[in-house]
Amino acid sequence: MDDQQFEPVVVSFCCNWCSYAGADAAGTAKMQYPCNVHIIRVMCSSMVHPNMVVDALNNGADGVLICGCHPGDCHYQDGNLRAEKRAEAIELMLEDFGLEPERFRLEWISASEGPRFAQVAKEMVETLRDLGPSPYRS
Amino acid sequence: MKGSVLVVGSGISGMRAAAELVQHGIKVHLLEERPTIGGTMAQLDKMYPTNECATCTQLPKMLELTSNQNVNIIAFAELKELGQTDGGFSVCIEKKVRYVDPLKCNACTECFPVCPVGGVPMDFDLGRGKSKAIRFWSPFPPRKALIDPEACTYIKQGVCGEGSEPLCQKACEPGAIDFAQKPTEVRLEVGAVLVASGAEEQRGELAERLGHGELENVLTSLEYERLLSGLGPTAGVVKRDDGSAPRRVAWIVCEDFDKQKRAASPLCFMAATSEALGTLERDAEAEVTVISGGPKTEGRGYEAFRADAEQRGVRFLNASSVAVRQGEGGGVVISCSAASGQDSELEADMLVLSCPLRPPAGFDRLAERLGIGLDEQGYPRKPQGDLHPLHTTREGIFLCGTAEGPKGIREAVIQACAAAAGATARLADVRGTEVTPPPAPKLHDVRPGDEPKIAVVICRCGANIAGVLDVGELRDYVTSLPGVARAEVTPFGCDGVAIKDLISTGEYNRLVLGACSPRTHESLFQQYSEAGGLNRHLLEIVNLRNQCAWVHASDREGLASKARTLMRMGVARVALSEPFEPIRFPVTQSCLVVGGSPAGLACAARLGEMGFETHLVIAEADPGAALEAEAKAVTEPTLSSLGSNGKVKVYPQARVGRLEGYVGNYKAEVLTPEGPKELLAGAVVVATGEKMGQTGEQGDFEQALYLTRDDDAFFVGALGNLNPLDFNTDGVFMCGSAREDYSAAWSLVSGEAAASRVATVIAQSQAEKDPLVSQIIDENCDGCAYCIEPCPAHAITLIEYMKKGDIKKTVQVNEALCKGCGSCMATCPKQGAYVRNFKPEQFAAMVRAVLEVA
Repeated sequence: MDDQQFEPVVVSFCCNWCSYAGADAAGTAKMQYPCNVHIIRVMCSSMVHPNMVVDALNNGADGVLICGCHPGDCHYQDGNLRAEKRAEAIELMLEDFGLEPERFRLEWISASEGPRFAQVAKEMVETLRDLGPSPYRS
Repeated sequence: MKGSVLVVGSGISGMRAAAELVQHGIKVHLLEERPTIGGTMAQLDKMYPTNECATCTQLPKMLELTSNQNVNIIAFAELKELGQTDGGFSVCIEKKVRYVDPLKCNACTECFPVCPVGGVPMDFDLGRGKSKAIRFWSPFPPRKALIDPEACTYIKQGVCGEGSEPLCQKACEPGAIDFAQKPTEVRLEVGAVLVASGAEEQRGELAERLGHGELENVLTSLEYERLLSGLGPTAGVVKRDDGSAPRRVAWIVCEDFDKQKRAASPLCFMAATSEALGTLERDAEAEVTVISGGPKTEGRGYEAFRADAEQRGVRFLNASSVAVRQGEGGGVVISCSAASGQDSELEADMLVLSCPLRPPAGFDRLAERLGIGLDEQGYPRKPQGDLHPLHTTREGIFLCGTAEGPKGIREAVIQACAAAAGATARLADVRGTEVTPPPAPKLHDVRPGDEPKIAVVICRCGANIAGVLDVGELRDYVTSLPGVARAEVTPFGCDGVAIKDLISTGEYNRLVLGACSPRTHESLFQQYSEAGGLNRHLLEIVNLRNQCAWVHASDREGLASKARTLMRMGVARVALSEPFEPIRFPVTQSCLVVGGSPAGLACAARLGEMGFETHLVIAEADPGAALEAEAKAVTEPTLSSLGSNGKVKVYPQARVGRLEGYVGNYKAEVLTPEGPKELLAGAVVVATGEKMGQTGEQGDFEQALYLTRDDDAFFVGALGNLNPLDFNTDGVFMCGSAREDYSAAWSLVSGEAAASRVATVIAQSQAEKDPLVSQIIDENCDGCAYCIEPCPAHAITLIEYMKKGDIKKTVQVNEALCKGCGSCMATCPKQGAYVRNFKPEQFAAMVRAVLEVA
């Protein structure tokens, strides 16, 4: 595949209460970001099992982005902080699978941070474009 | 007497009072003068002292209210008359002219781009944002367009663009635009009225003296909040009028420099600190300075918030007087005199005035219509000799929020709950008479194993989706997907016609909507789905609008492919979804109040007045025996009502021993001088007062309820400004000095507020909740119990049972407690836990759908 044409595929788990609403706000403000980011709604960022991230990457996704509420905003007290702890485990797992750490990202995005969601999506896609396809891509 | 209440004002206090009341079984008419609900809080970026995002916190509450069949939201309307009826009130309301029929408008926004009149200042952004003459008033519900008659050239001159036909009317598919609209009258009968009309920034002379309206780049606090808000005119980027980014921003806490006014509440100082912190969060190099007469941080967590802000770089400057003049390049020069006599000058690129609050413009007129008296500052006054902070001079009318006086969001919420309790107590005999349960749907029988027959409806959403996406092509594509039996395109799915027609045929057992956001429309679409006969959990909404058409319009090819992928994902997920009934569990309709503090007495008395069986356990020999003089004066009327209807049983010289159970179903052992007694309660209130807070003495029950205390021996409650009375344990509440130091009057208010919280739990004999909770797969669970600690609801317990002659360990979920966050699922190393309809195989199917090449 020609690097110029490489379009990374990103799976993004967004928490229902903050980040998913933040992505909606990006839409309301008609902010444009690349089509490569595919949002899956979860109730809380702490719902995302590390295996869900690793499986997505092993099955050929080029990157996974988890978005949760800012610390203190979690609808379930501290689910986002649990997600943060699990992120460390995820990073170690990526290493085991020979995947670059840039393929996974955890971000806090509030319901009013549409611009931030668009920005993070853009950055992630650019990073992955530079990095090239996942080695697990068929 | 009617079992309904009129709430005047829909800011956070009005909203909260409404939410409490409907849960008590009282119908609510929520009147709002502005076109959208949410009040001042909706205009804020973040809140102190929690630094929570205001939108994240408030929007879900707005959506809950708009979808509640027992809340009648009357927006863009004004109270005209409040007459007296037999024990209640007759209400006359006038709905203002919006030139758009809100029943027909489906918020498609097709009319906005065609409107030739642009640059119309948005009131919601305090004039800083600009819109068309036809627009939404704010990003919040009700999402209905309206026309600004001051701006619309058709209304003013009969001209629209080049012609004389209004272009918006032509663009409006549902025909909602109505230039002949007249004000309409709404008449209601209610049993009580809550005044939640809020407050506004006091600009006037003081703000003018400090440069507002005179100098460039001098803003008020609320104006600055709009700049900080991601939903504001600058999308959350702080900009000066010339577009440049300020590097030095200063705040002046105005009231501290105006000696005529009463002592400042912490509000202005804390708001300034919060905004300074927000500025630093955007630009770590910014120089931010809060100028005040000294830190004002009375309130739990306020000083810690200030100290943290200081540590992160917010500078606090104390001054005895300030003067302001324009500096170079649009800057502002602030001369400060310190109390020590030392003068200094500070240059800033922008100055923010943290203005005190005052009753909103026109409040005197509203007060007159309500028939309530005001004090010399323009706030409602109390009847002679009445010390209750929420009472007005007219019986049956209660105050809540900043209508009573300046206060922060947390305090406003406490007051709102107390006001709701007051209204419900008044209407105790007619509670439940005006509310209707949600309609019980007749649903098709769908079994988990049934082969999916998926119906798909793709919404054109006017031009929002169809304008950039070939929806016909998308429909043809979707028809080819596995499990899809039928796909259709509809102009607007939100009218419900296509959904109900398709589903009521009974031919389909799943529904996918390619439409707008489930965050805003899920509850509506679920209602349509069930009206057609399909269980609400068999519906999947694919966010084709907010997360596809609107954000990829500049890449049509990419957009089309993304839309196909999103539809594949939705179809893949719903094929594995299962139908569920709400979870129902019985509730003991009584309450246990622990502690004879003023708050505890007030709570018990209010619960009794609301008609609930209440057990009040106190250490003293007599209720009120240990009260100090001030508390005694305030609590006197409460004490006299304690025994009035026999609902409150007092256990003197007693304490709570063993306590077990969960929300709606607690069992307590009360240790009395006559020996232990066992009692049942649906909810528990901790009102142990400051004595226990000071000594740190622990009640036996605390551990059983997972209650924890902070370093000052105050109880740690649920997170967030909107939960000031809640513990993390459902059905357990706190009030008074159990949580923070309160005055006697505030203890009373917080006790009554806790009574309202209790009533939301025990008002019905059966609780109903969302069934999407955690499930354990026994074969996979080896009892490792990793999931127990992460569960924020303490819903999981480890159990052992005999299986094939062996002891098997496994965990059990209390469905009444589980909130469905899925932390257990993500913790389990054995795939032994999942949240209903968030199954690992559903996520796997969605990921596969993403990776599949269309």
